[in-house]
Amino acid sequence: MKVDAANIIPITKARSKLGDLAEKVADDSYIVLTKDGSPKAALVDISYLTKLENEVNRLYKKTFIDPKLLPYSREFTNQEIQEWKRQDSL
Amino acid sequence: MKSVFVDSSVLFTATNSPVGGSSKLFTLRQIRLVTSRVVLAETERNVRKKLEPYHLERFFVLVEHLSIIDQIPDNRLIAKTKQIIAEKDAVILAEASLSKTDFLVTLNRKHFFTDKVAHFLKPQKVLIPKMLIEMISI
Repeated sequence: MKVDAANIIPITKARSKLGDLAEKVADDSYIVLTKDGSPKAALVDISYLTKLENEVNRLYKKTFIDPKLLPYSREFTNQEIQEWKRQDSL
Repeated sequence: MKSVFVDSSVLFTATNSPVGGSSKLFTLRQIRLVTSRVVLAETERNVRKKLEPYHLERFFVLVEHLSIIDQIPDNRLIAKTKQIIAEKDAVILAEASLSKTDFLVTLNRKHFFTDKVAHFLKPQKVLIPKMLIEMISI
């Protein structure tokens, strides 16, 4: 993903040149639109967005989650996740 | 080559952080890392719920380094391990025991580092990743 300072634009400024900005995004270069200084939306090449969606779908289809095994599993608490991280330090 | 049963806490933490002992285990060539389908299902369930989507990809990459034992959870053994460890950890203790590996690695010191568990798993030993890494590097 490629985003540099020139690709971060307030929505108010983007409004008047949306057509130009849409031409500017290509492949994995995109434009981040901000509102009150915080990222609010992104202008993304539609083919790149489709590629990302396909990749996420592919990833989420792959699974080791077997409904027969779920009763043997449990949900971790945030507290134990933090404790494990602490115990894991080298 | 020594075999090591990787529990959910280690697999989850290796997925969560690339810099700790759990992740380092996956780079060692002197040991064979083993896990069960229950551990995979439990870890994946929590990765999907508690971590970011990119962690899921890392989880699948790490799993490629594991030998997966095709064992079915043993309900009678789980009933027995419930007498030895906290109920929430009974399934993993039973799975580790069934695996017949040389070591069990876990980050759950509180419940797995007890005399009762050590006696039950004997000769299998319980270690945290850091201990195993230090042992191998001696």
